[in-house]
Amino acid sequence: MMKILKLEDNELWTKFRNGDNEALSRIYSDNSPKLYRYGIKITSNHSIVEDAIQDLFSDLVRNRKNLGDTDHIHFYLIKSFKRRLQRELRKEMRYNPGSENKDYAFGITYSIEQSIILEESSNQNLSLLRKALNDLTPRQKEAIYLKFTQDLEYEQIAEIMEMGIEGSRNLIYRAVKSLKDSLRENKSLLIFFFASIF
Amino acid sequence: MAIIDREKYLNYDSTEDFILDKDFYTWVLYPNEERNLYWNGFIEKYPQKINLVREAALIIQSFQPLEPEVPEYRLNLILQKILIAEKKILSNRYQGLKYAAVLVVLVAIASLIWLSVNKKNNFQIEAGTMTGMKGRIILANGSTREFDTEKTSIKQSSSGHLTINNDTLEIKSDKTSSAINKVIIPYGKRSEIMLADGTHIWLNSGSQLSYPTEFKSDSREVYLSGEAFFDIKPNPEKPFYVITRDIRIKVLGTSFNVSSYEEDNTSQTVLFKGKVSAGKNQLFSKTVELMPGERMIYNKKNRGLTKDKVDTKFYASWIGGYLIFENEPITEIYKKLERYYNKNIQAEEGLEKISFSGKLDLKDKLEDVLENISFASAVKVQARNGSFIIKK
Repeated sequence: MMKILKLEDNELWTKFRNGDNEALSRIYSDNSPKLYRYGIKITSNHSIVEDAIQDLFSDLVRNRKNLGDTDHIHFYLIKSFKRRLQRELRKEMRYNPGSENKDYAFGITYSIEQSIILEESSNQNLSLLRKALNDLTPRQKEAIYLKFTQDLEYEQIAEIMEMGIEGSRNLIYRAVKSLKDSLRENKSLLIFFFASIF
Repeated sequence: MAIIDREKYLNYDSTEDFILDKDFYTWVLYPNEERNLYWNGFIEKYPQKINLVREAALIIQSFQPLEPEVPEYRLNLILQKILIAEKKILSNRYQGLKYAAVLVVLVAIASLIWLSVNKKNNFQIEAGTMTGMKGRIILANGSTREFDTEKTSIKQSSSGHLTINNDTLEIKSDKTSSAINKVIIPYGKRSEIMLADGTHIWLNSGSQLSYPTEFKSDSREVYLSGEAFFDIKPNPEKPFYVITRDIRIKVLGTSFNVSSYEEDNTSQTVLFKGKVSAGKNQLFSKTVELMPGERMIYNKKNRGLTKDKVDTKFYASWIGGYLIFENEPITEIYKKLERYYNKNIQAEEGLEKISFSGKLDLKDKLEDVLENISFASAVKVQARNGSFIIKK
């Protein structure tokens, strides 16, 4: 079994830039599933998402000698990936009007919508949360996803979503507050469904 | 995290403060022992904060998305295309034949890394082996034996003797560490394995089992990918664990069936007799006790566990070489038949709504088995280039 040491991002990136294809494979297998999951929420068209991943990495490999430094590979890739994806989607819309829905939707399904069963749960709380989650705006959903699931910082989210840092902070704060307010509508005691943590 | 930081959270007086705190949401989303200790300690010390903490944790948990299946195979192909494209540029530049060899090695490395990053070693399916014609056992010393019988019998003794279909090998075992053997049974074959402790295991088509040649520690652990029926030798001092990628089953002398194929959406455990407890294969996971006749289902998509009562005869019939179904969607049946016969079966869309009840004899040719289902379910079968297409 080959041993793979956990390299710091900038070290791994430098290896890749210097022509190390093992570093490339490592970067690719760490990141391509995350990019795919993000992309498929922006468009449901799998082949556009896969093409954008291929273009992104082909360009990286072609320009590897001229790339800048980064100590956060995931952010570097996701930012560039999103730009490519949007470009492809605009192209697609020009050639094929009506192919993508004009209204932007962030197509995410929350596991709470199907969560169940063995865990003790207060159904009323869950259904309030479920409704509040679905009432979030697409940009709120996207920002929440980037922060909590893709684990990015406000500054990075702001760059990816092309907005100011304060704007990204506000967007997430308002989303979180609306979820809390929805729970407070329920006067009964808060009972939880994640007993495994405590 | 130093204990001193705790004081900072005393100033948090809204749910939002906790939700947006990185250390806090990291704990909720990725709990580990250290984080549990820290946060449980905080709650104990400042019980006035418990409602905020609970509300915040509930909301953070609700953010978890149901992620679609990532097409790993296609993503891997993309990587190989990129590597090949790069090598083409290089070899045009140098006009050298020797680069062809470099390319092959690189592509192999790419897939190797891909696999090692994404799969734990014990569950790692050796490339190409499931669709091959021969079963294999990879011994702890790294050597491999192949066998091509339909039903292979394997017997492991604690003295280090390994018998495969009446051929006995003597393997000098390293006395200091416990050695792991890995049995791989491709599609179309089955195997019966007797372990050193007397435990009896039937391994189904397209499955893989890793087991220690001798059970030296205070528990007995085997790793399964695919489907197997277990008849466990009771030993209260050494509980037996069956571990799959998603679930972990603790056994106290008993027989049961586990089905945990990579390509299926669920992992299922059905208990025949005795007692087992099963839960997700992760820390702090709740476990569920099963009684005879009960089934636990782990759903990979929403990571939920459910339990129900079943008729056990449907879940062990494969050992005897036949399958029994009651109102089973025929597409599920085709999936099983693909594994037994190692043939490709394509079903037209809409067929998942048709179900079948009855008994199928796996000694029959696949054509006859499919004909049997078609007759009862009013669907059409076409054979084409060794695979089968099912239409309404």
